Amino acid sequence: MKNKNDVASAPVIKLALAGNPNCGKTTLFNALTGATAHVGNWSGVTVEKLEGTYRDKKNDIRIDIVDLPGIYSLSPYSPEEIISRDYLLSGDADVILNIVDATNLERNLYLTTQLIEIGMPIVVALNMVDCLKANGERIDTQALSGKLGVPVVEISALKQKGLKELMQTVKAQRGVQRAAISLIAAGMLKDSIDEIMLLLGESDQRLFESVKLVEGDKALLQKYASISKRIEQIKNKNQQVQEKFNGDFERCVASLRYDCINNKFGNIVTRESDKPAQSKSDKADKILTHKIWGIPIFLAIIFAVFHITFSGNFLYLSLVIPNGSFKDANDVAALFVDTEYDEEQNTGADRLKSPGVFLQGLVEAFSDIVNGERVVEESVDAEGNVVESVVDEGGWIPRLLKDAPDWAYGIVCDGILAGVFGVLTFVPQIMVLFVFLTILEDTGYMARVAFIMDRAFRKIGLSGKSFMPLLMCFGCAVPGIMATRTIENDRERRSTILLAPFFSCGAKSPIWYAFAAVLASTVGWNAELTVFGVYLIGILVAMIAALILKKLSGQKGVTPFIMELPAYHTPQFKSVGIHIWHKLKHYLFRAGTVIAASTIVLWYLRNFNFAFRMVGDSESILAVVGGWFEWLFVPLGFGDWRYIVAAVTGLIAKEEVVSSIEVLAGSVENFVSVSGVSTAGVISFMAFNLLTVPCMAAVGAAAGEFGSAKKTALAILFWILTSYLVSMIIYLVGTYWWTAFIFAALIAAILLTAHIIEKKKFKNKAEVKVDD
Amino acid sequence: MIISQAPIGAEVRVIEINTDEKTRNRLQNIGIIAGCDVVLLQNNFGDVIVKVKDCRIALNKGVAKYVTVEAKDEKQK
Repeated sequence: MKNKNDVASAPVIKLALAGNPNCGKTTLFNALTGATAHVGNWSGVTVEKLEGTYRDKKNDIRIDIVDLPGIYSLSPYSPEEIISRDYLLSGDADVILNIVDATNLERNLYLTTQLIEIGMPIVVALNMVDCLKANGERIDTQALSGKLGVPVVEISALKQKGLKELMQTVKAQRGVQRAAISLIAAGMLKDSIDEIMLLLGESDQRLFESVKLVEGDKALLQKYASISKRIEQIKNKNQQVQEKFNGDFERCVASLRYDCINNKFGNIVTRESDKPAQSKSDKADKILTHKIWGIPIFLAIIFAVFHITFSGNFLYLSLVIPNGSFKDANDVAALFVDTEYDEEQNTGADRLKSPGVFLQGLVEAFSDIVNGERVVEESVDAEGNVVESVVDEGGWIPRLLKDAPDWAYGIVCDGILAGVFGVLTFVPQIMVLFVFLTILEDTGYMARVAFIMDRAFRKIGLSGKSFMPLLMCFGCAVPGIMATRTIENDRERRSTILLAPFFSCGAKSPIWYAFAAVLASTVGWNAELTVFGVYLIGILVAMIAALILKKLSGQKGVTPFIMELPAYHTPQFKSVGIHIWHKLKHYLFRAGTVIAASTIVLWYLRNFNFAFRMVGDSESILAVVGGWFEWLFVPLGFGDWRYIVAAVTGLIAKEEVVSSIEVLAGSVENFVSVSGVSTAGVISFMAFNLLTVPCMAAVGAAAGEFGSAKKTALAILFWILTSYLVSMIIYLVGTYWWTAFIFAALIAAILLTAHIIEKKKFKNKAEVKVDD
Repeated sequence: MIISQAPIGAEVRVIEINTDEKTRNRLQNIGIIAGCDVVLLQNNFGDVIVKVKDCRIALNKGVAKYVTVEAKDEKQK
């Protein structure tokens, strides 16, 4: 909207995108509006309404587009589908654009036949026609359009073909009075539909509502509660349905719809060549979803991804590369290889860095150039005076500020830059991890994993539906928590949200790498294994917590898992790229805003006392306030104000933990050595950060999904308790090994109690529902 | 027989879906309805993948065991 003329000449059209899950709605939405919404190859990527605008100046078109979660029908099943139906029926949109996957016409038309029952302008976009042609099939678009009574436009959302024409068709349809058509309002249901329609007021949705009332739609029956008796009478009169379908109108309607689609549209697709007996997808699935090999293959893939991202010993090539090969590598070569060499034992300097570690090294090198510390050595000369001699001038900024006052140097170099770089160093690895997870998702493989994991998830009271949301939590808990909308079972949904923070998100990973590096140098632990171990602790705690939550709820039986498996396709460079770019922007933005700002505050609080004087950090405001709480964390092994401050700042954003450490102690190594916290205490601190209350953004997302302040408060309490307990166990067992027996007994007691509660509840419920 | 007992790769016809209304409704919307033809593609201890109307649907044991099918007559093919 640049000037008024623009608005006046182009009437704004509101267009709603409706279609089956995974039929390409969001791809089309992105192509039309230039948006970069997340696209993935599984059902349920979009769980919210998205809005954007399409502009075509030449033809004077402006269309506001609303992308909706995918639906199979207008009788919703899961929470995100209700969003779609409510919006479509609200009458807010001028035109409905129904996207139909041409490669799966029959099932997609099931929704189309329902949409045309609403008396609104509708355009059908026949997507993926190119794939269909590649399979040797052809669609008679004209015939389809004629039979549906709405315009049909062939497009390819991915290749951006036919989009202009589509938008012009949409424009032409605006304001058109289209009579609602029902393909099933003939034959045995005709009388019932007509009679009920007479009871309803005049509206665009009259036919639609009548059909849904025949079907027994709950939401509409509530709306028309006053005439529900009349409706019942009309339905009972219908002898044919009573006989043929045993009075099951819902099945009757669905059955008639499919029959009708079969009869009317069966010959619209013509095959030019013979269909292969088994598609490539089916062949791949034979192995990838195999009952025995499926899970090991998945674990191997995930291991490979972690290896490429985090390993300092790429492909374990050190086994074949002679020790000490790289000991004399120059600075550039040192980015690719490990140069640390132990001459006495002739070990080291034989490892290649994995791509993730290499990229991390690059950013570290950059950080050194910009903010390398100025090293000053003090010596005493012959006359007994202390002389400062500069050993290393440091990076650009320290050199620039060498004559600046102490506070200015401190706030820039030790405050902002140290904090921000502390976060940035880890961005490359987070991105590499995302690239792989996004590729796996985009191929369609992750939907299969949800299926093979269902059995394991069932054992701890969840279902395969929880897999995708929890997997997303490894990236970020916010979209992960929102993705739980695809889980239909309420209890499972709440449990999944509670478990979300235990799956270490990208922003938390800097904590693990930083401490793993310190542990490697102090106690010689393999850094790769330490990081892997943290992820495992999270998963293990999630499993135990899920089990306890299941027992407490007393729910028995297997929740249904129904999921469409998309066809495999090669990952789209563009959609993977967009997704990664989005994430990257998100991290950089946060580093530049929230984190930079809070490092200044933190630096101030750490260097000044209540009288606003610059003091040593042991007298600072932070030390004093943090000191009040030290006793609380003594049982966890890190009763030191710096640790408490670092953990608390993590609530703002988890990257804060590391940037706070950089501000508080200069480096993580210093942080550990200054405080005198034991190794067990350090591990306990890591576990605490892993399991405790997630960042505010995630808490906000969870509150939105719970929809109740009480449930949110309980969730926060749950996270605090879990992290406190687990950290305490880790510290105490790590320090006094024999306490392991006490905790083992305690956990057994808890599980036993939970089991007894479950039994009791189950007894009460036994008559209501016994369903395995 | 229930669907997980069907032979892998053969087309069978669904004759009954005997589960709660909500689940049955979902199955109908996704294309599995009494009278339709399906092919069992994978069977993992009762969890199944079936092919129906050109798409693959994963069902766990909790759903699959309520879907009853019968072998299709050779002649009908």
